[in-house]
Amino acid sequence: MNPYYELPQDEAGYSFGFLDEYAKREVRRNILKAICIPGYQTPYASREMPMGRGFGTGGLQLTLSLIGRGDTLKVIDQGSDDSVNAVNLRHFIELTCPGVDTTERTQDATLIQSRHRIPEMRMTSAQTLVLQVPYPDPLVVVEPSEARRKIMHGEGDYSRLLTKLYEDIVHFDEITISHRYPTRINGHYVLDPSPIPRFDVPKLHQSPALILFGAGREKKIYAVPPYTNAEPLVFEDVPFRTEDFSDAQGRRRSCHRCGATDSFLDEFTGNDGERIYQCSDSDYCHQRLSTQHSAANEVSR
Amino acid sequence: MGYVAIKGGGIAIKGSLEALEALRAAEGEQGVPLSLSAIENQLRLLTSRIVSEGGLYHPRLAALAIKQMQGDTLEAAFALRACRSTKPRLLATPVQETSRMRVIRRISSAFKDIPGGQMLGPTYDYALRLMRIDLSDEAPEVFRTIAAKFMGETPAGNLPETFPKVVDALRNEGLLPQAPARAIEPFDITREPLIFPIPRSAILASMARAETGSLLALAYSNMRGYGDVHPTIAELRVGYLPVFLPHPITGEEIEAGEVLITECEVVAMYENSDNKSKPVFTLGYGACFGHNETKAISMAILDRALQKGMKEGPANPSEDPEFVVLHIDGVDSMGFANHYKMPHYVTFQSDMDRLRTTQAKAESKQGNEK
Amino acid sequence: MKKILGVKNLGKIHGSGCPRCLESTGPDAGSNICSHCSSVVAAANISFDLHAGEVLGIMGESGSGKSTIVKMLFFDEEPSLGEAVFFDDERQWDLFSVNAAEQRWLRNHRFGIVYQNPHLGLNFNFSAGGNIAERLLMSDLAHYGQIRERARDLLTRTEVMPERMDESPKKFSGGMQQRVQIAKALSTSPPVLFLDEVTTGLDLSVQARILDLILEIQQELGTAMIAVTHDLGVIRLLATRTIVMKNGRIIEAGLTDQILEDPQHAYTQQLVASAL
Repeated sequence: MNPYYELPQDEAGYSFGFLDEYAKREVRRNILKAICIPGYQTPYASREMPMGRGFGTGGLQLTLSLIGRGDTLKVIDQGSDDSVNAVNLRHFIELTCPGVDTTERTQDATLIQSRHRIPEMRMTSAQTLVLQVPYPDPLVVVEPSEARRKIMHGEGDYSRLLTKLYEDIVHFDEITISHRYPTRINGHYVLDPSPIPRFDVPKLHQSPALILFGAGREKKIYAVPPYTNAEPLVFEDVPFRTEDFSDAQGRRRSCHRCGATDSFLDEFTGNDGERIYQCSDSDYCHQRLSTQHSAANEVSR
Repeated sequence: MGYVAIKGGGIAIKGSLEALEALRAAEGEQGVPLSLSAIENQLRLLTSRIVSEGGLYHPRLAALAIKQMQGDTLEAAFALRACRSTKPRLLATPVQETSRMRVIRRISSAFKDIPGGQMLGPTYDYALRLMRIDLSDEAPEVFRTIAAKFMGETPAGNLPETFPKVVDALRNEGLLPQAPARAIEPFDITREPLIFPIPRSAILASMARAETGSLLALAYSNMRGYGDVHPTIAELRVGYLPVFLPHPITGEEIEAGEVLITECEVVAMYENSDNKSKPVFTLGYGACFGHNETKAISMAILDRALQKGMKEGPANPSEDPEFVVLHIDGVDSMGFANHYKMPHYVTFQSDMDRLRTTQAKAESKQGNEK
Repeated sequence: MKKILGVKNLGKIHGSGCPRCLESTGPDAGSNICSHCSSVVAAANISFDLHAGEVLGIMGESGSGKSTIVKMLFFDEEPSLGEAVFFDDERQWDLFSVNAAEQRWLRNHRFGIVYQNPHLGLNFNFSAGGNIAERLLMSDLAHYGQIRERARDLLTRTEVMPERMDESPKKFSGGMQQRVQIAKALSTSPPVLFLDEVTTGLDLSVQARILDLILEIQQELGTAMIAVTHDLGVIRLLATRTIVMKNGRIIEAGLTDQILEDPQHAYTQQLVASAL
């Protein structure tokens, strides 16, 4: 190497959307394939992103390949726009995608990237949701070999996964899967819906919005196309159940801020040791509060 | 609302980055910022490791990554990879002949004498690992004369530029199988997804940019008994390989530059073959950017183990291509290990829901039994 | 009698194979290794019929190719030569030209197998009941209560204490493990059951009870069975007809009584004599 070599100053200059155009085109091709085969884990050559594998690099590659000027983006993590990872991802996208707007309001976004939650507000057919996926394959709990899992998926053979549920009921009288609940798409492929709570699984079913899943480290893309059936894997006589937010008297708990009784609640301990419940979807909570404020103002006026 | 840990992410990140930067410059007034040239030369093996694991031959950028990441090899290789993601693939090199390598070191543990002779070259193999206290306070005047003195004392022209390859000699004697046909286009792991079973070229490419420690651990498991390669190093060479590229207009191959690489070929005991053809030794191949001998040897041993696993079915983790290839990448594994530090409030809430329900059921069952 | 399985010229060669493999192996050559290409002819020229409700015994020493036949019919191994037709109630299946999904369907619905090694037939990570549930789930039963009831019935029928159905079979004795395998195999009421050395390695008293159970089931359900064994006692007790194998070939076939009373082939004579 030439000892006088100096790094050119444009060495760190990036094109729109960080990835080179060939990479984005490959991702888009695989998104199309994933939409055509609902629930099928489409392999792709996942690129390294400037944040850690597991921090949403799969979802980020989907977002960067899809986003264009005129899009409005919302990024959430744990339901919140302001958590460290959401801030970091949004900042990076703003940096590399000039001309793209960002928002916290679910209804204003054209593209939403999320980790662990689907927004409470029902999404529309004009919107796309990108979910970040750590483990794409629901069969991994019963079969470690990827080659063998691929055959099981192809044949629609989910008996071993169901046997795992059977064993759960035998031993605990309950299905112990808390999040990442295996869900059958369009009657064939069973996918891992990413670590969303069971509360969010019904939102996949017949969703007007396109839902895309990106697993960067495991290098897979899959999709629930709009208006597609999504059914959690269950027994005929053991119904699927979402998280239970009722108190000791059987009443549905409410958010301590906005009073919502229809949202997924975060639980934490207050300074006085009391248990506090609050909407996990911060935008939903804010919008409810501001509606309540303006309604109150109307009344007082 | 002080207790909502999820708020104020932007401010926290900013503060965290400032703290990181302050630690980098913690020497204060006594500090001298590291020059990239100093890192590239004085920490040449670290730079080698980063170009290799980063999968991008750019020593100066690697040096920058080392400086920026404060010496963390996983982070530095990661930064180089992310940089690579922004670059389109404009050209693919044809197969490069490593016999053209300008060698700085080549050894064989199979033969006392090899065509062209052994050349120990720069190595720590026989350096005593005693602390050299004199290095702790080196006089710059002395330091600057070391290289010139070495060059002046080494007689020029008594060494050939290139050496013939040991495995070619073994092939000519019929001790090794013939080289595989060149017809197949090598697999590009940066552009094609891995769908198992994958070809050997995809495995070799994955190992070439694997994390050194992970590769070593798996290869070591095979050497120790979870496998049975029993390798002999036919040749290990380190040197500068001229890279030829087709001229954009004439198509003629022209030398575009050179890369420092380490190459290792291990020969292992022959196997009983099904048919009655002559038994021959088997070969494992390892090569990577930079001067990384441990990595090249580990890779060669694993290549040999994986070839066996692909033929007969894996008997050990180190013989299973899926197991090896999916667990040696530093960017993948370190990223995932670290992602556990991110908030998992929602999933943990969901976990608590399941645990409380099953606990309640277990309690009511016990109650009924009493 | 209704034919349920027709096997013609079935064969399995391990290795590259050559045109002279068949002529240079077999009982006359005294080996199943081809002297020209070193391939192993595990089985060749295997032809027989299986009738509804009968038990066909396949007898021979280890390495004679008897287990290979069953493994090919159950799709555990791919055959190199020959064909097999399964005459099901509604249709005929050319076993070696069906696709992977159909193979799986046949394995789950129409065939059952009990292996000598319970690790092959059972998943030790699941409970005994779970193992039966898995097979029922494969055959599209998706009702937890019904699956449990059926598993309990089957385990009761095969004399596994139903109160132990939620334990892993790895805690069970060898005989119990075979009973769980039998219950699992029978769970979808298959018309054909393959038994691969099911009693080998068990205590004599346990062997006798397992064989009794198999006979009872065969009489109750009319399941056709192929029983592979090196044990003359098993053949005598279970099989109506028997095939004797050596070096990958059939050397004698006929009614079991006939073969045991009046063996024709020198090797069979030797086998029968040594057992007396």
